[in-house]
Amino acid sequence: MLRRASICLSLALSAALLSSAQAQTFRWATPASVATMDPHASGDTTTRNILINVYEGLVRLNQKSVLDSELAVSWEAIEPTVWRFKLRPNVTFHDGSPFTADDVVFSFKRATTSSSDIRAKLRSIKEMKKVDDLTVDAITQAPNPILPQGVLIFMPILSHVWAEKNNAVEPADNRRTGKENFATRNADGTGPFKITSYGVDGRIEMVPNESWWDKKEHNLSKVVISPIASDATRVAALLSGEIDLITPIPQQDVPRVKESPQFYILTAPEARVVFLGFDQWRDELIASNVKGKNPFKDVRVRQALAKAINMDLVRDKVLLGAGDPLFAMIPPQANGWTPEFKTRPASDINEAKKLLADAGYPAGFSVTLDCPSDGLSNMGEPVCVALTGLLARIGVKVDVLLQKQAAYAGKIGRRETSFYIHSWGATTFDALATMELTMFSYGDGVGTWNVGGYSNAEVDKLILSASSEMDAAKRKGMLTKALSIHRDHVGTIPLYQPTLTYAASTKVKVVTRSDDAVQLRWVRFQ
Amino acid sequence: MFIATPRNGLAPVLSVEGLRVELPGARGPVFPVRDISFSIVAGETLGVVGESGAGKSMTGSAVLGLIDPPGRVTGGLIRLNGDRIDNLSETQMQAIRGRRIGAIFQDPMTALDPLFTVGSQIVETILTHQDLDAKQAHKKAISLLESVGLPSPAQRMEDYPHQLSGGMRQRVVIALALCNDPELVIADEPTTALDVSTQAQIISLLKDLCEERGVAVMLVTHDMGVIAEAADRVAVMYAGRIVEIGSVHEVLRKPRHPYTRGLVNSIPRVSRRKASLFQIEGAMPPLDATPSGCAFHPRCDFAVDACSKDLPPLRAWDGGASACWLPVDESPLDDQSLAPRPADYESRFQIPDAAPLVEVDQVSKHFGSAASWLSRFTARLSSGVNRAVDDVSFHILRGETFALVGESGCGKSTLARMIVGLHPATSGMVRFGGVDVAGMRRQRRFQMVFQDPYASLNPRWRVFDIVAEPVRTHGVDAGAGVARRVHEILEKVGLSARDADKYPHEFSGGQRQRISIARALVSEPELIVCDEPTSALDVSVQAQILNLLKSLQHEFGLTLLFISHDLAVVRHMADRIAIMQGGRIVETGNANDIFTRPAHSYTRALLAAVPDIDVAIARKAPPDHGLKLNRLSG
Amino acid sequence: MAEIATPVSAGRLKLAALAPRSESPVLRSFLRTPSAMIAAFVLTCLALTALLAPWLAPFDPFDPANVSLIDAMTPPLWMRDGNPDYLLGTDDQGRDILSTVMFGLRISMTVGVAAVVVAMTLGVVIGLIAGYAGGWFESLTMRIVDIQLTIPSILLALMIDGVTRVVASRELQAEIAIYAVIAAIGFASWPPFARVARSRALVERNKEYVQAARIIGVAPLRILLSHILPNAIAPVLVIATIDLGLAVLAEAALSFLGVGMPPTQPSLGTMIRIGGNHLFSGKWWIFMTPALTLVMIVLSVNILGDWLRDALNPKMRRRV
Repeated sequence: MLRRASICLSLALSAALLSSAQAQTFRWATPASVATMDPHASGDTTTRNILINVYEGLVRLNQKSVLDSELAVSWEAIEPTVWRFKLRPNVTFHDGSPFTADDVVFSFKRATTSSSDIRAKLRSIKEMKKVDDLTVDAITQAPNPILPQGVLIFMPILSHVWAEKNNAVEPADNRRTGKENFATRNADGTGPFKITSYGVDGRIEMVPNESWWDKKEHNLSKVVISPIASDATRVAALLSGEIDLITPIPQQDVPRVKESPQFYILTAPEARVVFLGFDQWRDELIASNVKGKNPFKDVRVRQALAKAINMDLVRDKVLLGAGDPLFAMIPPQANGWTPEFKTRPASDINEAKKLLADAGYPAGFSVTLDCPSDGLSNMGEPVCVALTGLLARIGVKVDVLLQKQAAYAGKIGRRETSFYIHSWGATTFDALATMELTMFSYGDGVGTWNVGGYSNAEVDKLILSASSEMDAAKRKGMLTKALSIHRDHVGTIPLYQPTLTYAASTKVKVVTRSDDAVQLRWVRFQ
Repeated sequence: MFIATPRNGLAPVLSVEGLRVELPGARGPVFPVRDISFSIVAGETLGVVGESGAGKSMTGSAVLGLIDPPGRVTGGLIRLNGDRIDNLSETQMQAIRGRRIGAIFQDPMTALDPLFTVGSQIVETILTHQDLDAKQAHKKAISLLESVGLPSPAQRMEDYPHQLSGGMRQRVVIALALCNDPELVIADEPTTALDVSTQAQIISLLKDLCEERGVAVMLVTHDMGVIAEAADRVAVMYAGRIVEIGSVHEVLRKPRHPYTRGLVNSIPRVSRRKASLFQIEGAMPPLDATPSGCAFHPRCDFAVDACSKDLPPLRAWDGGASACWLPVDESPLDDQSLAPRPADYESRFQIPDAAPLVEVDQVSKHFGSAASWLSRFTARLSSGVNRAVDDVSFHILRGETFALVGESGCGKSTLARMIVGLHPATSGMVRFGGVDVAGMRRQRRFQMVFQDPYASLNPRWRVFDIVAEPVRTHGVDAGAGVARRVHEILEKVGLSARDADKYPHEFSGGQRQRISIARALVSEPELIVCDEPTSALDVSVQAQILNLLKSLQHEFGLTLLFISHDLAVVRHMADRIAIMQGGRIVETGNANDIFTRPAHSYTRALLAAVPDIDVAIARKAPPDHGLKLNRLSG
Repeated sequence: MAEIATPVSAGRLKLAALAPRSESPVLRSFLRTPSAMIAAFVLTCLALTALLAPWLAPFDPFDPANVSLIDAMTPPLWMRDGNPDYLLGTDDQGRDILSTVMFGLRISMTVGVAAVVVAMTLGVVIGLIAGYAGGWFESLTMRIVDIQLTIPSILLALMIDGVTRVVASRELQAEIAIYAVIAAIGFASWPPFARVARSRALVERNKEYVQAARIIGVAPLRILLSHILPNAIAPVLVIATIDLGLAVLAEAALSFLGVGMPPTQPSLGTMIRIGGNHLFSGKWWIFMTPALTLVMIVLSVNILGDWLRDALNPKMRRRV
């Protein structure tokens, strides 16, 4: 009797111990695996959003996506082209080496070598200069009013001592060349978590960095990140209790997860806009039955298309609610937004038909729509097909050409398209980068993603002025104005802002952010 | 019900009473075996003879319990030493097959498993049925192999079937059949797949072994020569019934049934030559169209009204029985046909200045030398080339029949194909009318008739198109002319113009051979090469085809190159003969000289091996033991 | 005196072939095989449905103007929220499942049949020439066959499809999709045909009727076409039947991988792929109808192929 009781007791005890240990292990499944542990060698979203927990930068975003101090405690523009950063003292890397201005200068150099994948993002900085051990100056090519949030947020800092010791002073571009170095499989940041294991299958294990400089908000003892490519498997892993968080969850599985009280759905509006673009520069479309002229050069045609698209219907039936219709090239989270951008042209078939007829296409025309089959969070195909149905009503026959993301991106990049669906993320939470790349007249090194060739002198002028305007309010006015002009011209047809949808066990509390990053420092077991 | 039992009153080893086998057909069941009765005593060999479709093989299968479903035995009794075996289950039959009944089939290769040594197969069979240990079984196997005449049997035990020649394999099969001391052996065409020279050895071996061991033998064959050599009694089957049964001596010398008479008469003999062979018109009826009354009556020259109405019963005569409504004809076969007539040998072709039509000049064919570079390479590494035809020279005179004789693999078919230009010669030259054959394309001066009546006609073509092809290819006679010509030729070869619209599968083997001949004739060639044209045919049909060839040759003044392994057929056909062995010609000469005064030892051996019916029958008289027919109540 | 006889192999302890010559043994075997008859019936029904889809189907799902997004994901009629307009419900775009399956069937079967014709033509031509002519051509083509057989055909089809699309001009993309798929599957599946045709040609080449034609001097091409081809075609047809099922599946697989037909003209494979996304969310009808249809095609085609193989092979037939 006694023995049985003691067995029961020990079982119960060990179960309790086990569960408490278990409870501190946070298991997270992502669709893709990280390509490298080197934050400079890969700038893709998956890698960045996982390594953000290991490597820190000078600045960071808080839970509301607002700029916050990280390894820099303060900063100011001492001249239009010189920003001075005061660094956080008494910070050490995971390997124990101290964090100083040398590491900032080294990291900048390292992140701008030819094998770096993020050097383009740091292009506007000419030089990083050490002033003293805890002060650095960033000298920009031109006045840059949004340097901290627009640029430096993309510069992870690693230890120069560690890199030199391990012969990893330059990033190894293992994805393109297959070459690796020490930093490819090992990490040494200042962040809240340390990598303990990085498996060939992409599985990552982390433990908290006990000597982290900031106040610890999480209560995790271990983190396991597993890549699970199949949507269905990922959902099944969550439902079976194997995984605590999945990012993302396919929209059609949301109701099923919601049914169970053990799970909940997390959403965040993604800082991204999905839009339709059209070729407005060729004299004849390359994939249309209209010969000798380009219907998209006529604003009435573009308006007609915009009016034919009933985005509310698409949101309800195709996106299953996971998107917010809007009519501007930036999401509400980005600087430059104004509430009227939310208003879409009233969907009206008759008026759209009339506009088409006025433009000389009473019977419509046909055009091929380039569409990524595995892009737009896998919503590319259903959205495109739905659009064909909506546009067919005004006589525009759309042939959907589904392609793999890689092939599609190549074609769009070469501007070999007449009509395409695309999305643009406002990663800096500022309209300028989006506008420079997608609205500025296409030319050498500017407007590189202005695939449709929209060109407006006033917009160009506003963008140029805004890029060197240091007064925030004036600058915002310019951005909003340029966006409005583009909007009135229907330079593109913005469709919606996607919603990021994750699913998690109710045991954990996770904070979502518009840049799709899950910051482990805010994860808590309840 | 009649049952033929030996007179001396021995209890029969096998007795079959009223056996009937049924097969489902499209229009109701058909009966490949109809109410047949016979018995065999120990040490006796009963030959069952008949043409294709007579039901002889099916009878053997029925006794072995090996009728493939959906066929089945639907009537009669089969007794093995008094035990009924027709109603046994498959498992029970398995215990009897191999133990109490041994079987020998036509193709020794199918009876032996290629993956095991012959020794292990015999030992395995012994161990399955007898209470012996492995050592004893092994010893027994060696002694068996010795008794079937295999040289150094202990070593042969370790050989695989493919390492043995056809004759040796058949010896092994006989050893297998006898290894469990069976009471009965059923041998189905045991020598058909073998060469002439081995046939005789195997036949006498089988006969001697069985006589010695007191085993009853049921010998199923189409070959009267084999019957004459090996059987004590013979049952002649036609359309599923026994039409005549009796001692070999009686039946073959004095056949009572018109069918038997015709059959025996239509066999070409080595010993004599006639202007034409006796021929029974037509062929065996198909199973689903057996004529009423006596099934033979449509082909019978003596048929009376009763023959087509009622089935004649087996009527006994001294030493046998036959089923015919006609009065029993006790006369021996036409003496004239039996007597050798040297006058027949005088040739029509002894024209002194006859020019050679075909000249074969030091022709050789080596295989393995003109193949792909890879096999050329490996051939260089291995022992060398196969000389299928080795330095052969002869000529064929215009208008004569020249025969190439030899056993299978001697190179005669390869030589024939080189003469018609199908194979290029490795060296030497074939000239046709003075022109090198190798350079002749789209020619119509020579044609060929092949051995296999089933493979030699395109099954997807109408007879008309088949026969017209040579004419169309050469563009002689366009349009209606072609049709007229085809119909004319079809009638010449004994078919009707209506047959032109049919497909080959609607014809019997003999008729197909006629179509082949028509195709060969239609372009009015000078030479026809006949490669074993009758070896796949029944004797009665063979006689028809041989007669046809002869008459056509006469009518059109054809030159024939006749290739055969059958000396009797060659004797009937040829003016001059070349004997081939191992790719070389060992003897060439006038047919009469070759048959009467063979010069080469191989020729002599070949001639000696031919089963001569007349000699064999003569040897059997007087019979060892008389046979009588008892009437039993059923 | 009628001289007709059944061809009976002389002197063998084998059951005599008893085929009456008046009717085809293949037809007879068909009438005796219920599974083949059912399969043929199902296949005929499906083929007729595919053929008559424009007249039978309640909607034209390939015309986007006909599709009503508002009705997307309507469940089948017998379920709650079912709409009498849509007997089997609608998919995620509001297309009537019944109509879409009918039209998809049309595409799947067209692609299947055409791809088999391509593969068969290519394979038979190459195989016959290789078998008849021999020499370097035979060595070369048969090595190619061996190599191609080691590559999964779906991989090859993906490759061919990709190349075709790159080569094709921009505005033709949508129009050539079906031809690209047909070419991809056809070119990926010719080797079995080539092998069988070659082996048949090797056998027939040595048959005496071919030798007879050669002696006359009939041209090799004519021998191939009029003598060898008709006699080699039976086993090729058997492979073709089985390959038809595989081709339909391959199309489905290509579409499933998103490189097949355009999404506005869904084939069965596309429908299954789209349906698969919704399978776990309880909207099974989007998946189930096209999947069952595909299963029916492939199953009945394979049953027919199996039967045909047995029917054309007397050895197999006897064992049944």
